[in-house]
Amino acid sequence: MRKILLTLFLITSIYASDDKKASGIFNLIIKEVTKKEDPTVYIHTSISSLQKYPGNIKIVKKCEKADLVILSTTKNIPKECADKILFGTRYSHLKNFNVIGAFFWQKGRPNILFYKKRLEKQNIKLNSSFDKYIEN
Amino acid sequence: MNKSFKMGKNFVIFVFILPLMTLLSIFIYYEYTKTKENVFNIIQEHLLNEKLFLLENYSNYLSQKVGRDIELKLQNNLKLRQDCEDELYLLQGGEIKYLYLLFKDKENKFRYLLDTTENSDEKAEYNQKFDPQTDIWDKAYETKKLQITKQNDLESLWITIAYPIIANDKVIAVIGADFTYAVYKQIINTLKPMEKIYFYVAIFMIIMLIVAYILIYLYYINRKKSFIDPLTKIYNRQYLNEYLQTSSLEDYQLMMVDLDHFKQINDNYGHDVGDKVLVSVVEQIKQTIREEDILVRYGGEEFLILIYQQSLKNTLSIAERIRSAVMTHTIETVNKHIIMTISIGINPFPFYAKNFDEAVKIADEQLYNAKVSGRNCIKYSKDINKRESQTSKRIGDVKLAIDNNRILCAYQPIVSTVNAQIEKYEMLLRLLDTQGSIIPPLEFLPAIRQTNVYINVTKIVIEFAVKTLKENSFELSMNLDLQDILNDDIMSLIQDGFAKHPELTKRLTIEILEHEEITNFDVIKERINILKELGFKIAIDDFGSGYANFQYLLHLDIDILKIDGSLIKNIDTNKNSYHIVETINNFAKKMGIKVIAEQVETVNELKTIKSLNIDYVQGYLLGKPSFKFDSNPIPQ
Repeated sequence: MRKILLTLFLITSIYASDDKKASGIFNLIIKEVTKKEDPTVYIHTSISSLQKYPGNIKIVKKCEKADLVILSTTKNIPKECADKILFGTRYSHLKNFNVIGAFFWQKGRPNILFYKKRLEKQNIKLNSSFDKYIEN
Repeated sequence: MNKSFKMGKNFVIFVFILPLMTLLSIFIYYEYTKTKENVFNIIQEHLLNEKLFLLENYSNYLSQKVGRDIELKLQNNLKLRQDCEDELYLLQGGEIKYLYLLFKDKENKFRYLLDTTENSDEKAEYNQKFDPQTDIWDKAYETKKLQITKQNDLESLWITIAYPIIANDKVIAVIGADFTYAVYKQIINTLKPMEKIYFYVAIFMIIMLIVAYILIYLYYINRKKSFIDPLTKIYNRQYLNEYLQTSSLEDYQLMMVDLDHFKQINDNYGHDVGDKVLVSVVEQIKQTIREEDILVRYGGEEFLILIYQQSLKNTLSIAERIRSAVMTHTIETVNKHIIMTISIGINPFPFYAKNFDEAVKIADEQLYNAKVSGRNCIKYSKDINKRESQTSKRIGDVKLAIDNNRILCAYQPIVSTVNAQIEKYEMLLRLLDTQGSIIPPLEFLPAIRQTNVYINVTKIVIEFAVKTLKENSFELSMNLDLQDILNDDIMSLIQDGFAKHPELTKRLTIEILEHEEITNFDVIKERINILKELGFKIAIDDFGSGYANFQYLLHLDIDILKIDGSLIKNIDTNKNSYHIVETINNFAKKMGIKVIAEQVETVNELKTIKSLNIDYVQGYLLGKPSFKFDSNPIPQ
């Protein structure tokens, strides 16, 4: 069911604006990663789509209160975020081994990517609908 | 009673032309966008064909160069990878935004092998996973044929091609080419102003149409309100004025109804009761008349009813039913039981009136008659009024008949009593009505006398005379009123008509008929002399009746005398007639005047006339008026 929802979302997102699309995908991913319906997220430093359309995500100002940290850059990540789940917004963010995965736009297309080992390290188990996005 | 208004010009514009123009503008816009799409398709085809040729060459080249284990070779040989990417880059051009090479791994995931993208954020790394949004990549692998998809879902891309690279009959990789919107946008930007104009015109027309229909709707709602009497809810006088602008009274009979002693109701019981009485009477009338009849509140307690397509007998019957219904209905008010009566005046021929006011006036006169006759009764205008008011209709009918060539001449033979041969024919004016029935001159000439139409009819008769004389060798006689020869216009018509054919005048007798007593013989004498100088013979018609008398024979230079039919009728049995005719004939003979006896209808009358040595006879016995010249044998 989730697989269908995710696929449907990715397809239907094409009709929404870029920001709305991105926010929707972020919501799906973060809910799945945190296993929470209303997860708290700390944004480092700025993600306009999520800030504009947070959806069910609660954006917190302090990293301590966050279930997950979304990165617009991997530079100067606050120390308080060190033990938090880090999620990137560029392919290059994945070069940081603490980043479990990323959602980014490339060639006009949305891309989702997770690394299996990094998920295991954080004890995160994703639904099978995310399998095609997981790399060994 | 729900009479709709006839369509005016504005209505036609709103109902037909405006929607037509709107549809046309939508059609133009639709056709334009369709043409635009066609142009795009042609451009797309052209663009693709050009690139496909290059991709095919590159595909063959790479297949030969790298072979089956493409991913291994490119993974292990960085220089080879760089060379291949550089070569692929050469194909890119301005139209392709992204050009890359993908392969499908064992997990059926697509991964980048090459990517010519220059932007580091957009450029994929070697072996990076590619998330397909469409199934063209799988299809390219399955079918080994190129796949094309329109990227409606990706904002910056137009179309994407998946071109399979085949080695040993197996797809080893797929070239991905994303075409940009640049060309598309360029074309759109060029065509957009024109498209916008068509679009706005179409929208404008749709809005105009909607606004127009709303306005029409509001207009008619308001108009309808203004035509309804607020108390009785029937049409008011304003409606009647409007209705008559577009409709004729031809199919209606006009009834004017007035409530008897209504003022006393108002004075004794107050206006509220008076209003109730009015409403109640209107209800009674409405129940008695039909849908197609029109009931109008014409004044305070006065109503007009236009009765649609009924005979006078039926209209009188309807009027009686209305009178009876009102009279037998008890109007219940607070502590009061009122019984009303009405008087009705009818104009059965409103169409023949000069105008609507005159038609109402006639009905009003009859209403007055009803009132002075004791009220609670019906009066109507009689036939005499109809005939008087028919004048204007008759003039119109004759004008129409002239336009439609329905003014004709019949010919009746005048026979010599000496040799029983046809001496000449008398031309008799006839009008054919729209149904083809023959209308005799007495039914329409009085209406048109003193009008220009009469001159036109006379002109037609003269033209008939000239034509008939030209085409035949016999003589003719033509009737004219004595007033006609006193009319300069008609004299000119005669002179002009025969100006080109003076030889024909000798064969034409002008029969003069008189309606009034002649007081000035000198003028008539002068006119007759002019006609005689032109060559015409002059006859006096209907001699012995009316004003045509012996004075004529003394004062005027007459050639022929036609004895009136009233003297000829029963001449064989009526001694007085016989002696009068004998005297006229003897006198005429002495004056050198020929005599014609007209309206001879029996053999005995003919024999008596012959015994009196009258020169010529005319009548149904000898030949009826006909549009063809009579060839029947003449009775002896």
